Amino acid sequence: MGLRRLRFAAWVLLAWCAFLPSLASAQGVDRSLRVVVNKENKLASLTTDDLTRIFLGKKTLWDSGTRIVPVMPEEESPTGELFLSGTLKKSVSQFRAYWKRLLFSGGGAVPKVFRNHDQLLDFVARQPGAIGIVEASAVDDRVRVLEISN
Amino acid sequence: MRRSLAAALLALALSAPLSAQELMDRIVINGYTNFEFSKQLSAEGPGDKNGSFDADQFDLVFNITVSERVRAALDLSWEHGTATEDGRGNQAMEYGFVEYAVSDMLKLRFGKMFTPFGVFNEIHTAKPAFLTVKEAASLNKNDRIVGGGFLFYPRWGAGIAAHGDAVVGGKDLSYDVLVANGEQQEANPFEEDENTSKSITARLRVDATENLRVGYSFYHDRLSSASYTTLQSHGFEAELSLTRFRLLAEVAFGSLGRVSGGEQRQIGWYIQPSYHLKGGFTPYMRFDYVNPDRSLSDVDGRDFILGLNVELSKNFQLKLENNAFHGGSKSTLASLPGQGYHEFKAALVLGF
Repeated sequence: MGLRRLRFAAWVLLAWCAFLPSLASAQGVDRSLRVVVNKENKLASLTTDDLTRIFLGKKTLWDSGTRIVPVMPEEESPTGELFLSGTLKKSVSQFRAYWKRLLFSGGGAVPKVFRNHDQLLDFVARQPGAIGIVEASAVDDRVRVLEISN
Repeated sequence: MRRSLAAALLALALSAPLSAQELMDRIVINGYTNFEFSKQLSAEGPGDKNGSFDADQFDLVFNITVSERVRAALDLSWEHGTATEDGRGNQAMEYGFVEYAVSDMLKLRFGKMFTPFGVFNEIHTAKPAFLTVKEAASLNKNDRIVGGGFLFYPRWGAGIAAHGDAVVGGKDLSYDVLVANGEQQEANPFEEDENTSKSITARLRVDATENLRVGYSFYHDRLSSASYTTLQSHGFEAELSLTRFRLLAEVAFGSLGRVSGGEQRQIGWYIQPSYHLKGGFTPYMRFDYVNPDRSLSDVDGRDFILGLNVELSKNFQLKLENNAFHGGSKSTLASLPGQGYHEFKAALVLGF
């Protein structure tokens, strides 16, 4: 097969893949979890797709221009795993592999992880651009709960 | 490179008085290290016959948030047990750039960067970011498989880049465009261009479905070489990620224009399936293929890799693999018994 034919075949395959119907379906955030932001953040709600993009480093700025700082519980904690598998649709190893590629190629910093909810809430309360994932029972008035829509 | 880091830190320090806590929030330090062993198993071949340890690499990666829209990124690398007093090893700034975010769809970058072509080039030094001991040589360092070819693109570039993420038609896509000096004959390509032509690299990636990402890369440069006029390459990539199964594949087509007329046309491709088992075990294989000159027959080379990646602890991996190299009857491997050789490779890799 000639080089041009091979290249043409690669183009056709690529175009076909790009127009595949998306199988992604927004599943939202598990009811036992809450998405919290800094109290200065005026945003009322966020879609699941945008939440996913934030934690995958694809959305890095709030509409106000403030840099988004995503934070979450440790990936292997029950809360962390629930968020990764339920919302981001990634296993712990897939999530780490994804971020290692982005981080080490200069694409940005990995979401900060916290061992306990109290430290996480403290951080969100301190950082104007922060957005965090916590257990619903841990939320207090240091932060504001963001409504997530599908 | 120390100056770059010092300048970024100075800019950060001068921007506003910061508390220690704020400074820690703004400067994130990560890194990775890679320790390797390789031993040629066949009696003859160009591999490592003695079996050698290699303190391959130790890198520190800095992410510095200077302001809401400005970020600096830096990778400082010490290779092969750097000891400058003895002239051993290598110390390098793999990349060092400043990013100004106009929006998520347009981030401008200035400095030295990895050429954004295909899957492996931007992570070729970061061994924790991939399963195998080495990056796919068919597209990134094809002389490791067979001689007679050329690089599809230079691995680094100094210049101006644009990067963006967007959603189009319900699909996530990202793009990169880099305008750089390109490869040079004599001058430092990160300081000076020997001709007026700039190299252009472009890459577009689309998340076709939740599990499938596809991409296209392009590179073009006019060369100042006495023998060659232009270098142009096209690359296609696909990555399928199911729950435990992953398939990665790429193909690149390159052409090197000759001053005497005509061009050398090269093709490289690989396919890499892997399966993530419980307990952190991931067996993998990769088949790399290179034909350095498509106008000639039997000059091609192949590398068939069978390996196992074991996650010993969080972000700490052991990699074990056999590389079976084989060449065509007129390739640079043709003189070897069976026209090929086997090499065992192992690595301990940590990302932090």
